Amino acid sequence: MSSAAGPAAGRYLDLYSRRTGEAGFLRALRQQAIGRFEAAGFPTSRDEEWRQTNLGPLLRAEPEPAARHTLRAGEAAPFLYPDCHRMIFVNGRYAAEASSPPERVTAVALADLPAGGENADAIAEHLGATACGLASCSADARVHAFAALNTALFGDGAAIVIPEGVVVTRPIQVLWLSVPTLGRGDAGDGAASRLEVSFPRLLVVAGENSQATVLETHAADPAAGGYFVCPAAEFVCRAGAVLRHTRLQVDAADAFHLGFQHARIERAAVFDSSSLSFGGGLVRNDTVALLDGEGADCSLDGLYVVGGSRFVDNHMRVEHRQPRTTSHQLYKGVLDDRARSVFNGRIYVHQAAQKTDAKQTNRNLLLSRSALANSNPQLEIFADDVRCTHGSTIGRLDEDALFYLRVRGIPREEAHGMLVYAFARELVEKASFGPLREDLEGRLRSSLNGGRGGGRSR
Amino acid sequence: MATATDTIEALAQRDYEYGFVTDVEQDTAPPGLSEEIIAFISAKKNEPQWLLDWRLHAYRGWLKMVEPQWANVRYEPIDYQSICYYAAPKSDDDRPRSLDEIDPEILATYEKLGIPLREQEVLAGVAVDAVFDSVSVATTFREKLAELGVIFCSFSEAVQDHPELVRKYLGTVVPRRDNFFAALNSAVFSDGSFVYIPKGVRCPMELSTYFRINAMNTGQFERTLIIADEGSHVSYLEGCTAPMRDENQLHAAVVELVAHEDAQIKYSTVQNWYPGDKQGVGGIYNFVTKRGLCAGRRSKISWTQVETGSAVTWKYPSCILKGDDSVGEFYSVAVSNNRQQADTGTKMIHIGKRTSSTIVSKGISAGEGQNTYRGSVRILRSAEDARNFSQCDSMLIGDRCGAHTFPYIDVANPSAQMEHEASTSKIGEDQVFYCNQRGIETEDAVSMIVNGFCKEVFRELPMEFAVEAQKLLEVSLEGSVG
Repeated sequence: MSSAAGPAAGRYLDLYSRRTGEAGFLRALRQQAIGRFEAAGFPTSRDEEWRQTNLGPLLRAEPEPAARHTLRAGEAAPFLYPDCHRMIFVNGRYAAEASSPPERVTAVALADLPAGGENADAIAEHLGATACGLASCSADARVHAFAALNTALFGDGAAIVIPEGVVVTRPIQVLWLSVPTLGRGDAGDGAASRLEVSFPRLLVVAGENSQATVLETHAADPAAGGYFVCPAAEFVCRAGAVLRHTRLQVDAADAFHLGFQHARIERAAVFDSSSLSFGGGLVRNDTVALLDGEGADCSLDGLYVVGGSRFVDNHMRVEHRQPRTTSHQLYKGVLDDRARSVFNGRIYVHQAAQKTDAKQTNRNLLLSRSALANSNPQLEIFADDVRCTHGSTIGRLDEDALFYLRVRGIPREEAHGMLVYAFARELVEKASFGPLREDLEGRLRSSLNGGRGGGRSR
Repeated sequence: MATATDTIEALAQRDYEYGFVTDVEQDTAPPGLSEEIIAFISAKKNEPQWLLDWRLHAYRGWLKMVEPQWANVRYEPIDYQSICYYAAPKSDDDRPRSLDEIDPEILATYEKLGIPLREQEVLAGVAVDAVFDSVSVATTFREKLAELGVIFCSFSEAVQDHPELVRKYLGTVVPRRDNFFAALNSAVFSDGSFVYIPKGVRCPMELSTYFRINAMNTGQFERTLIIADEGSHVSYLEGCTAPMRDENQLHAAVVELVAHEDAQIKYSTVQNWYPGDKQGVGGIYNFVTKRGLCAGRRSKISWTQVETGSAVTWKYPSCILKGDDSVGEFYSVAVSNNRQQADTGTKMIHIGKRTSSTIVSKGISAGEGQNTYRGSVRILRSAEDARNFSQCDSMLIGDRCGAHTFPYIDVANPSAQMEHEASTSKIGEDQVFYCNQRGIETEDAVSMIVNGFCKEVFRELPMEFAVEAQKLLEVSLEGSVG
């Protein structure tokens, strides 16, 4: 992992060379992406953006494409919500028989793309346009190695195009289920360990004045062994569109999850996204949002509940490119045991983006002596008529509040749980879709109760 | 309301008031850096062998280092071989006994800067150790301080007179090979100030040094070392202005503070070096390593800085809070106008129990200035019940400047309480309008608002410095309302 084409990068380049050819724009896109990846290689701890993320264990493993798996009855059920349109992917491949994509909307599996159909042009236009491996920031356009890998190697994915003016009332759930087939023993220690890799890809284009809700779930059986999921998602909100997005991450405790998300928000459009991380051993989410039209608005919120010796890293960059754009970020973290978290948020205000209103908040609750929280909220501002604030706190539970509850006869453990729940609940309550909110509440509760050691050691 | 912007811009257009060159004969080393030059500097200053070895060790380390690129500043590469590493006024051997013996031209320079030594001696009760280029030319009030056992002298004198103290503390807070510029300084440092406050002594006056960069092409490499022994108390002032120059001048100082049990050190800086002209030509490169060690229990180190000068500033006064219950403070106002760039902030490293730190940083950007706050708060696992409060506010004046905030916060102890806040704003038209309505000129209104914005920091400065700082701020920003 030393230089551009180190041994780890070489293994992934091998994966690419084993791919069979395909035609059309995808081929060109993939070639461009793998070229960028090859030139840049994997980031190291000397790379400022990756300083605190230890990729060592991931890069030592031998990657192999996740095996095909036919969904067994009830396998996906714990992660599905009622009253939703569904697209289910298992190990990165579309499970058509279990899915029920919405009508009036083009929702196709990318593997079927050459067959075309309506809106194929829109998909070709937008896929990879923003996230084909570039972190697409005008100031420092660096290659995001994992986004580039995804573009080069994704086998399948979902493309959802919501036509102009269409309001999709029921949420569209996209479930990415990982079912590792290698036994636990295979994914153990040593340089020769093998790791199953999948590269889920999502594209959502919300046409002018359309409205939709997309629920993404990255899940696995909690008892599953190690695997590596490397998702990339692109969101395009055309003028006046309202897109709500929730990303629930409940990967297995030994999983590596390194995801990249990119959103472009045009004039007067709204992108409201929440990211909730409950699972995974090493989790990193990189999010880039471009406010690319006057009056565009975006919210990027997140919650991470981390125990064991797990690691969660959220990096995001919000670029205000046009005047009168607003952005809000609220990230909260609960850390227990030997868990570590990183929050790195950057608000970048271009000179043209006068009247920007941006707010960024990160709050961390440390429950254990061995937990470690890193928080780097950053502002880069090149316009003068703006309001930008950020705040960050790290601390433990308020002893006075705990005392207040205990005076009223509530046992310490219970009082403790109540306060932690109250701390995190704000982000769960944000979900307006009932079944999702209930599910999140349940997950929050169980991760807090049984959560002491929710993850296994890595 | 057009006037508001115009006035501010008019203010920002003002030329550097203190640009003039004094012709004093120099005893200068040839440009370039090598072991010979270091030996020359060391011999010139009649240093003991151990100090020469110390310098050479730093130099050999420096040769292997690369200039840091991570700071959010852009400047022409520095040719380290074209810099003169030693310059001293000629009257080095026969030092003046009193102010009357000092070169009248030097005295006139201070007159122009509004620092009349004699007046200060009498009126302000401030002992001035004026560094003209690299060698101290006047030290006052030393006898009075000597009565209390306070040592306040130039660094080279300390090497001669108090070698045991220098040897004991030099490089203990900023190791010789700490970073690129600190290593360079350690190899070639010319002079600086040395302060030692003995046990239980409360220094009766503010100690003050006026640094001045004067000779063409001479980098200044001050070395300051302040030691406050148990239960002592000292307030140290550092202030500087420099003549107008066309060539960039490198300034890489190192300041080390050591506070023992119950000791307090207050270090205040007003920095007004030549920032370059409006196109960014000339101006000082100010790459400074300042660090304080709260070694003992209940010790306290407080940094206050007002940064209005220099073309490029790269400076992070830091505190290592090692003793239990120790306190670190950082108050800063940084102004970048025209093409100035400032990347400044602090590091607070909490090691001891119940340590607390406060960071208040106010950045003001005008013209095409770029102002960056870069701070790090680290609470280690041993720092039980540590507290930190950080506030970083930025003000933008004009639409071509930039304000950036990069805090790094690492907390490894759950009992810690850590808060960071930052905001960015401009001077509100409504605020200016409110003042205008009440008959206050736009320019005065801006001055009022800016001073209000910085008040929390100015409050921390010693009285005479606060006045100077306020004046400096007005000069630096005159005509900048948006």
